[in-house]
Amino acid sequence: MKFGIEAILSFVFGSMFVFGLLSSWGWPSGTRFFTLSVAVPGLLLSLASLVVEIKKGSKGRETATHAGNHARGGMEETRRRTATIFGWILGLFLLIRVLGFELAVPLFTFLYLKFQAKENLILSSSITFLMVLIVVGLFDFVLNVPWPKSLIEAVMP
Amino acid sequence: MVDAALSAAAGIFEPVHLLLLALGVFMGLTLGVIPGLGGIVGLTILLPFVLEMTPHAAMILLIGMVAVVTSSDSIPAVLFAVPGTVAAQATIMDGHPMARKGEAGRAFGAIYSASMIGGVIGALILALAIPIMQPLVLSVGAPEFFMLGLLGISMVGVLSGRFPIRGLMAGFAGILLSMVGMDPQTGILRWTFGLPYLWDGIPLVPAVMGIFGLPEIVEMAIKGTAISEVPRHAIRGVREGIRDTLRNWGLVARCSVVGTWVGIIPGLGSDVADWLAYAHTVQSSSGRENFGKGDVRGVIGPESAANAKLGGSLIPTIAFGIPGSMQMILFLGAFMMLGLTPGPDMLTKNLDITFTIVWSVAVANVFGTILLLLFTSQLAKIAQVRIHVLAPVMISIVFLAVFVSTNDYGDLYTLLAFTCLGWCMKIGNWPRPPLVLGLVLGPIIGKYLFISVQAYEAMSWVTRPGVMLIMLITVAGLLYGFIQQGRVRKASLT
Repeated sequence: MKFGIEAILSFVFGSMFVFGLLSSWGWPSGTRFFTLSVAVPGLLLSLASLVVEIKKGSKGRETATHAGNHARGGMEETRRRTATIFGWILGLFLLIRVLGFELAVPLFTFLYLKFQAKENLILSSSITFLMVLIVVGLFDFVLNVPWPKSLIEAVMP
Repeated sequence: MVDAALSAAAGIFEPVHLLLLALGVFMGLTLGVIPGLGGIVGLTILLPFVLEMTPHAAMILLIGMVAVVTSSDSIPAVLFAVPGTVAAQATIMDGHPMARKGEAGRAFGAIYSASMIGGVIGALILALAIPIMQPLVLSVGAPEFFMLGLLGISMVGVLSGRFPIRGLMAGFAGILLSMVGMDPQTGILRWTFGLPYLWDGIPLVPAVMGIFGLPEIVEMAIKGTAISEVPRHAIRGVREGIRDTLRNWGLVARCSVVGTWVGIIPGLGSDVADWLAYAHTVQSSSGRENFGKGDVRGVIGPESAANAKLGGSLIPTIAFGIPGSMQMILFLGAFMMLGLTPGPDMLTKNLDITFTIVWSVAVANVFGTILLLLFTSQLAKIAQVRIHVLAPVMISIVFLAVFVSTNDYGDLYTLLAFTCLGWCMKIGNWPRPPLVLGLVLGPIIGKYLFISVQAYEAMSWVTRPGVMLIMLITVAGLLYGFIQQGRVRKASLT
């Protein structure tokens, strides 16, 4: 039997409530009372929702491809685009950890514009320069944001 | 009292004071547009500069800046579904769908006019309420506040989307997630998994950016279009938005009162005012099925409340020296630095300064709105830019905004985790507002539940008339919501 994302979310939230109930067992009554008063009704709602979703099965299921409905090129194309954009987001995260914000943000902007959006060099460079201004000008000089050490800075003296 | 009000009004229109007000307003509008920055950052920057000023000039500058942050913070909320500050979270719900329908101009017109009226109403209530507010605040106890929190979550849960069970569950999940961290009442560490980062709980900024901001950008990037799905010529005007606000004057007035009231209560932030006003708007409006799809009333209500809140939050700060938020704590700091003592002095000896504050709130809101309206048509055109050009800028700004809020890499992990959750909820048609509202209201509900249980014998607090009344409204609202949603679903199936 194949479950949709709706049933999976019901299960995930239900598991959270079960975990909340079980892990609060040894807590003082003042703390546990609030947890119980949230987790018990939450768990009941999750069970009700799960039953509804399972009964509904694949017949009346709301679409699990909300964005896919609008994407040009069908499900395969939607999946590819979803993976691509999430890949870029993850890439920015890794760049930030490795290089730090000051280098990662302009680099990400330029790479995305040049290779993903396939924009021309002038536009890509202009927007990259704008991001340099935001990171260095606004966050660095005006707001004095204390950037923590990147992995490269931590390794190199 | 009238003399003090008139002399303060005359003072604020002096050229130097007007210039300071303009400077503050310009700064506030700029800070509001950039996600992650806001009134607190602005106050931190300005505080060293106001030391050398007269109290009147300092108050005009500070209020001018703070009063309009909640007007311009809706610009990224509407265009990119990324709130400029926490006070613009609920604006996303209908503001962003409006931008996608090509109604960004209309949304901005409605938002700015509602913000201005809300801000002026907040200032008016501030002027009228100071002498009478103390007994009123003291008459509402912890049990009523607890029930009000539950009412807000249940209403938003039931009325968001087509599935009330999912909405309620998301609300409860939000409250459960808000429990992560140290219990402020007992000191117990709840679900921190040995990570000191989680001791203070799940930070709201990355959670909200993850639930709303990035999933919207992801969806637009997948579709590969501009933010607006309709061509440029179909952008509807700002004037229509202003007319919408005027047509819904009752809603503006009610939500302004909600915002002011939330501001008066210490500990409830701008985000709470925003969401409670949204819940009230949905609850009290006809055609509820349109909310979340670009109903202009969904931006009018929250924006009126967000700007009215400042007037309310100044009441306990000025009258009792009780700052209700971080912003007001900094404000109180400015008071002390300028040699002003909050309390009775502000209603007698320094009454002119109090009225300068009142006038500054009102004039700054009007001035800020005029500035915003002048540039709205240009701003609305951003919605026509190709998403592939905007996406890297928006994604980078979300990461920067999230990091700046606490300067901890942990926030980036939180952002990614909540982006996954927000994306799954989005594609699974799960309502996201109740989850965020649960996260926002959870600590407050927990605190008031703890106080209620400790302060009253057994469960006697449940029998308080105020509690019973709110409980009745909650149950009636839940039943009504379920019945309405059932009808809507039945109608859509046939």
